[in-house]
Amino acid sequence: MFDEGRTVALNGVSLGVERGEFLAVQGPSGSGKSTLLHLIGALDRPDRGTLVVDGVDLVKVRNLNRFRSEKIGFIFQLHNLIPHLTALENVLIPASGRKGDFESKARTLLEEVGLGSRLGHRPPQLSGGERQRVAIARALINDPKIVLADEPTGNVDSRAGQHIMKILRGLQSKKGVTLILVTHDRSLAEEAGRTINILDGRVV
Amino acid sequence: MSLLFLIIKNLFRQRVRSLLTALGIGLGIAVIVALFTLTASMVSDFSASLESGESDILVAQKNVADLALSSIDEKYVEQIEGLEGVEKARGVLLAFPRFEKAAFFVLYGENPEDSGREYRIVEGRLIKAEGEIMVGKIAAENFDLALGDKMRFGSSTELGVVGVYEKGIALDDGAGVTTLADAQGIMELKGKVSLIGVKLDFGADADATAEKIEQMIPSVLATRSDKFLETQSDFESLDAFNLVFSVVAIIFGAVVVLNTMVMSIFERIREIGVLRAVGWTRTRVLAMILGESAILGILGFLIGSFLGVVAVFVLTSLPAVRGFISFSLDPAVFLSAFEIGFATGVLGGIFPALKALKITPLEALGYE
Repeated sequence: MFDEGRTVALNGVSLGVERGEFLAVQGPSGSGKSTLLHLIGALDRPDRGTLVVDGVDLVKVRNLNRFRSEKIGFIFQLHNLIPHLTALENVLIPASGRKGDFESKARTLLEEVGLGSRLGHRPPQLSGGERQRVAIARALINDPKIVLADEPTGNVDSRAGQHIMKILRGLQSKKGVTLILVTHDRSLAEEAGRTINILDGRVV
Repeated sequence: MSLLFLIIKNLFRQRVRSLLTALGIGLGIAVIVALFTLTASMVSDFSASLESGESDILVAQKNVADLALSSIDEKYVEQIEGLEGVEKARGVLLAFPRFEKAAFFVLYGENPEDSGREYRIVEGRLIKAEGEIMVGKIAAENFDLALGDKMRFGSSTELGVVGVYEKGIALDDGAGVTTLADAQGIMELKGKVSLIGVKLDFGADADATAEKIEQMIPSVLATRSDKFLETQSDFESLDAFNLVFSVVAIIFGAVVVLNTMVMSIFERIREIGVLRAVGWTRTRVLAMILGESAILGILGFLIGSFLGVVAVFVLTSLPAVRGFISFSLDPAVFLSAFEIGFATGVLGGIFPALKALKITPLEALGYE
């Protein structure tokens, strides 16, 4: 959609998500799904309206870095791991500079996603599914309250995709994390507690 | 995981490129280390040579660009000796005859028994009469001289070697000493001296006496011997020369770092976006980039210092130089080289770091 020459990605969206909820967001390419995820994850700011996440008004707050670091865990479609760092070091990246024993926590997280034996492997030495599991562990290192996953299974085979979804479901059910999943895949969306559809920047 | 660990990992990622960048900085640093070390050694040798005598005041011709060009009438030696507070005044002629075997050879024209400077004789004896010369140990090796040999100056003068001395100062050990009259004859400077060394009575005021000398002889500059080098314009020129070289080396090194870091940032736009997306602040990204470039500068300092020391060692071993400058290392030179290496790295990293700061997570994550 275009408004006076500017692209309007989302318009008139009103959405509430409960703490600990598993929400799936569906819609065709370019519909505004990822933009919604970026706004909730404080990677972008809305031009108008209000956006409150975990009690923080993201339109007004200045330090979005801290918000992202403390409250949000991102899982991207492309794992976006740093290729020259090991799996363990990649998981530690968001905690870099923070005080605490993050190394043992990172080891535990990698064991939880089934990569306890691959700690010292670098991304080029891992399969697509394994890389995405490292990315999940990285998203969890700072104990986020909300995990935002943008097509997390989009780049892996179906078996790896099932494994990843099992881990994500566990996050929501066992750790009480609020999980917002953007996906094209209807069968994945059906696993969520609620599904919303976005079309041309509006929730339909 | 500490920031330093990540910085080092990032540099190791492109080892060859990092090494070549450090080498680029290192070459500039090597030139600086070599130049500064040679200059410092030269100044130190010159100071040691001047201060090895017992003179409290040194008198040279005013407004000459180089001490070698200083020429004072010998008659002033007596006039200065007559001043109140002066115990002794001695004239010395510095001659710089040219030889093929050693480009730099100083011939002192003075009476060593009366010069106030100590010569430790290792072979033979001190000169006693005209037609005699004693040479320093390095000069004896450079010119392959032994006692009884003749040393020819110009077309008509020959001096017989009567002694070999060692003072432990390269400038003096690469030199020779003959009588004032012989030196004046060789240089065709009858009745002239280059310097007058003045020894004061115990308790006499050096500054006040120097002022009196200048009032009495307006064409000379009289300075306390410990401050003498500061008044010499050729040594001031060396400082200016070193400064110009340092600035050129910094600019050259900074451009090398700039090139490397800009390439590195463009290759890592997506990565930097991920760091920002997972909560890294702009300050932390800035520290990472500047840290990488600063470490390249420090590596350049280490490589450059090593190469510079090797260059100085080789240069001071050459016969043409060893009688002029000794091999000695000054910690202040390495401190300056470190500062220059560090500044080069940081300067070269500023633009790429500012470029990295402008990367927004969203733009970067969409960047291929």
